[in-house]
Parts: sequence; structure tokens; C-alpha cells
Amino acid sequence: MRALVVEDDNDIREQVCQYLREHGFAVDSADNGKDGLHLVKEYPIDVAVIDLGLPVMSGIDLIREARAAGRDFPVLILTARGRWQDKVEGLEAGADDYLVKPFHNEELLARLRALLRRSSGWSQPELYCGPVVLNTASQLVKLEGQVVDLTAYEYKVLEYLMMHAGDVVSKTELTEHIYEEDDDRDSNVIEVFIRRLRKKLDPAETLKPIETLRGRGYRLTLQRHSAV
Amino acid sequence: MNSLKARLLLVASLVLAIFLSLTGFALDRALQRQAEQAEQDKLQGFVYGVLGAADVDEQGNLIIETAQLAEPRFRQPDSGLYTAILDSDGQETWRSPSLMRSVILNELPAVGEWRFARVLDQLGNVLFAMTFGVNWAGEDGQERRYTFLVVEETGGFNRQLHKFRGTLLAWLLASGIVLLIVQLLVLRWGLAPLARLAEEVGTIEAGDKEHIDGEYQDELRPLTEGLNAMLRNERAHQTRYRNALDDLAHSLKTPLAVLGGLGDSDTIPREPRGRLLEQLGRMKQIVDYQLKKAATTGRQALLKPQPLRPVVDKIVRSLGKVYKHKQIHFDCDIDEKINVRADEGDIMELLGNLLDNASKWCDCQVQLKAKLSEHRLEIEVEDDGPGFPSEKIDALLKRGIRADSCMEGQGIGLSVVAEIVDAYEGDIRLGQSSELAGARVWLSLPIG
Repeated sequence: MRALVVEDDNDIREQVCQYLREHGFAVDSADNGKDGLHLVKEYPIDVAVIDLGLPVMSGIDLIREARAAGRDFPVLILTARGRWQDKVEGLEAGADDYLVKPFHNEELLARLRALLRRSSGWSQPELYCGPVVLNTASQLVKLEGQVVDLTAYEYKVLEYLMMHAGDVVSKTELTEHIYEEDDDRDSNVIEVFIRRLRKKLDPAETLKPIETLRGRGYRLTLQRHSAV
Repeated sequence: MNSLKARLLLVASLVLAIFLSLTGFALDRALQRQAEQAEQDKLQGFVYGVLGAADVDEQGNLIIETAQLAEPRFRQPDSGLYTAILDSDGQETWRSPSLMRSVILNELPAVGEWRFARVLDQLGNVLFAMTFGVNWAGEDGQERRYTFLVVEETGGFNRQLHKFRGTLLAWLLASGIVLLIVQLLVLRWGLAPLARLAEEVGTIEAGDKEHIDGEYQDELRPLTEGLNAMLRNERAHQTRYRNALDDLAHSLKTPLAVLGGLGDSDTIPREPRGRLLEQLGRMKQIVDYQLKKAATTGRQALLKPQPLRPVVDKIVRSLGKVYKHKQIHFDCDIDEKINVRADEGDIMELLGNLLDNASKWCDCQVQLKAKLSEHRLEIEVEDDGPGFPSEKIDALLKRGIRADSCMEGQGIGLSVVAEIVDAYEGDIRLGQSSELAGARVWLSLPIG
């Protein structure tokens, strides 16, 4: 998942970015609203953390501009004052949740994951597709009750596919949502991840969880369902 | 006597009444004197006439031939005008045919002296009497002392005076009424700038205007300029205050956030990390609480009344987003017409905290009722959650929160609400919802 962090305080921004990267996010960051808006318009952001008190362009204006440009990813606002007037203004401008500074990184992460799940139609932290269960909080994947051992990137690819279960996801899309801008990217690596995932999730080659659509991308064929 | 107009009118009317009374009195006196003088002159003329007609008879007494009298009223009995001649003892030597009764004279005038007085006749009627003392030389060459008397009844004089007084009173009353009307008009014109000023202050109070911009008289200018300066200062002060609070919030909370982030990392051993996070949590709550308390505007003069409904709608929309996963049903019963005189930030803080608490604890239903009664806004927020723990209800509202005594999971929301209610001199009560079986918060604020 690709997260955008717009925060003018260097310490907080670095901390949040590092924490999110440690927990599987590809993170873009900016220290002012204008640069933030540029990132919003240029990159396929999945979720954003935006401070309300930003220089150059305020967080409220950034959210408004993003929404006006048709970007509908979930947005979590950070506010220092914590007054309801600020929260309401942010939420009315198009944000989806708020967090009052100072906050715990765990809470921020939990809120972002909840926003991501909700935006892709999942209401529980566990995503169920066929016999596969992916827990977004613990980042554990189970196949018919057995824990499947995945690398960080394999997890990221599977999480993205499960969030978009049933949809066609192109290789470029996967790359963009998993890698940061300055990472060395090679779309062939995606093919490697997909191959490994197929092997780990379907050792007997009976399930066929990931379908390849030539020239278009991949699709998770497993049916979404709620807890069993 | 709270009205300036009534005060001025009362004083001016009193002055007018006294002035008119004195004028009436003086005019009356002057005229009476004038009339008496005229009467005196007239009687004196009659005396001269009588003197000219007097002659000594065979007995040596001074008499007048009736035919010699020029004034016909002397010849008519009881005509009201009489004349007589008295000797040195005051005995009549002659009287005009008109005189049918006797007149009582207290004193005879000296020779050559004119004396004018009011006298009584035997019936007690008041008459004007003019007497003149003379020495009359008889044919024997001996001078004898006589008094000439002319008397006129006062009836005619009194009637004239009465008539004049009537006219005078009528004119004085008429001019009094005219002056009173003029005075009312002058007052209205003179006090018009005050009425205009009051109206303008009203529009500022209603929020339609920022300051007084009308042209006013020199006497009012210090007042309007003072008011404008006060309004400007108040606004500037509020802006500065809010900005200072923002700066303070930002500069306190950013390092707290950074410290919190450090506390989250595994580089610090578990035991000190727990203590660090605990203390950071306390600091966060204290800072939050004190900042919110300081940001509460409270009751203020010249606050624009604003509709309550849109504020509630905004908060409900916002909470609907934040608690999307709970699919809460918000039931808001608010009259569209309710306007409140309170700072919008305060109202949002108040309702935001109440509805946020209700949303956090409810199962799926939150209810808000608001109504105005006798200028007080009454708000009731209920939910279908577990309700307040009854033994802790008093502690929940405790103001001046201390983080270590703070309730688990309650945050500072209710304490902030209590602070705001206190700043507006309102009441708050916590209890059990009879309708939804969860928590119920009732409050009443004098901001209607």
C-alpha cells in the first residue's frame, strides 16, 4: 500500500514515514501542502496522513484540492489543537478520520489500516478470500488455518490483490502501490512474487488463486467472504 | 424614571408650568392695578364735575342743583354711581338722588387731599369711594370745611376683571400647550442621534455590522469612537489570543509527538519505555485539557445569534465518517429556528465532545434533542450503550482534571464539556437514558 505523509515537522514526519515503512507501506512524504498536492496528483496514493497546520498551503486546502481533482483515497488528518472546529472543518473538506497530536504510532497505523480496509469494502481486520485469511493487523496469512510464511514483498502483493479481490490489477499498478518513487523498480520482479505466491498458496496447483490476464495483469479469483 | 426623554420632558414641563403661573400672576396684578388707577382717575373726574356744580344755599349749606349734574347716573336712583357732600363732622349736607343708602366712611381727608378707598355700605357691599377735602368760603366770607364724596359700585369693575382673567387664562393655557408640543418635537429631534446610535449598536449585536460608522454629534463622538476602539481591541485581542494558543499547542505537542514516537521504538528497554509513555500520556492530557479550557470563549457581549441546526449537522456528518464501521443512527430533534448566542467554536466543542462520547459508547443509536425555553438552550444527548458507571458519575464531571485521576477510556471530553458549561454559567447533569437505556447527558445554557 502506498501512503502519503504531509507534515511540516521533520522529526514527526521522519518517525511516521519510518514506522509506516517498517509496517509494509511504500511512503511518499512532503513538508508542505503544495508539494503534497503535487504528489497527490502524480502518484497512485492509497491513503494519506495530512497535518492541518501546513506551510504554503493548509492541510484543509490540500484535501479540498485533492478531492476536487477526483482523488478519493482515504485521508487521516493530524491536528495539534484538537478543537472540534478544526476536526469538523477537516472532515467536511473530505478527510475520513482524525488524530490529535501527540499520537501513538500504533494508533496511527491501526487507523490507516482500518481506513484502507473500509475503502476497499472490508469491515474486519481479517480479509477472507476462499481458504486464505490475511490479517492486516498482525500481517499473518493463513491457508486453511495454517500459517503461510511470506516475505515482506510477497505479503504486500497479496494484501493489495486481496484488497482488490475480483478486480484486474496491472503489473504497473502493483509496482506503483508497493514501491516508493526512488526505489529501483523492475516489473519482472512482480512476476517472481506472483510465481512464489502461487507456489505457497497453492502447492497442489488445484486452487489457482491468481489468474494472469495476458497484457492486462492479474486477478485474485478467490471469493471474498466474511468470517467462518 | 429611566427614560432620558421622560426626564427632560418632566423638568421642562415643570419649568414651563412655573413660568406660566408667574407670568399669569404678574399680568393679573399689573392689570388690576391699572384698572384701579383708571377707576381712581374716573372718580376723580366725577369729583371735579361735582365741585363745579356745587353752590351754597340759603341756609349757608353747600348743595348741588340736581339739574346741574352732568352725569345722568347721579340722577338715577340706585344707578351704582353716587355722590354726596359732607360737612366737617361727616354729616351729609347733600346727596345725589341716585344714592339710596348710606356709606360708611372711616376717615375724612384733609383739605386738598384726595383719598381713594374701598368702603362698605350699610348692607356690606364693597364700593369704590373717592373723597376730596375742601374749604368753601360762604357768602359771609367764612370758610367752612367740606368733603366731596363720589362712590361707585365695584360690580362693573369686578366683571371686567373677571373677563380679563378668563381671557388671560385661555391664552396662557393655549401657549402652554403649544410650548409643550414644541418641546416634544425639540426633544425628539435632539435625542434622535441617541436613538440612531442605539439602533446601530443593535445591528452590531445582530452581527450585521462590524463597527459604528454613522456620523454623530460632537457630544456623542467620544462615545462612538470609544465603542469602536473597544470592538476593534476585543477582536484583535481574540485573534492574538487564538494565535498564541495555536502556537502554544503546536510547539508543545510536536515535541510530545516526537517523544511518543521514540517511546514506541524498540531501542528503549521495556521498563523505562512504559514509564516514559505513561508520563507522556499524562502530559498530553493535561496540555489538551488546559488548551481547550483556555480556548473556551465563554459568555460575551455582542455575539451574533446563529442557528444551531447546521452546527449539529456538520458534527453528525463528521462523526458518521469517523464511526462509519458502526453504522450509527443519529436521531436529531432540533427546531430549525433555534438560534444561540455563543461562540461557534465553543458550541462545536461542546456538542462534538458529547456526540463523540455517545458515538464511542453507543451500540448503534445516538439521540440529540435541543429546545429553547425562556432564553435557555436545553440539550439532551442519549445513547444505547452501557451508560455511565453510577458510582463514578460525580467524578466524570470533575473540573480541573488531573490525568492520574482520569477515567479509563473517558478521555477529557466530559471535563471539557463541564468547563464550557461553566464558562457559560449553565447546568449539566449525567444520568441514565430512559428511552435508549444508555448514557444521558442533559445541559442547560443561558444563550437563547
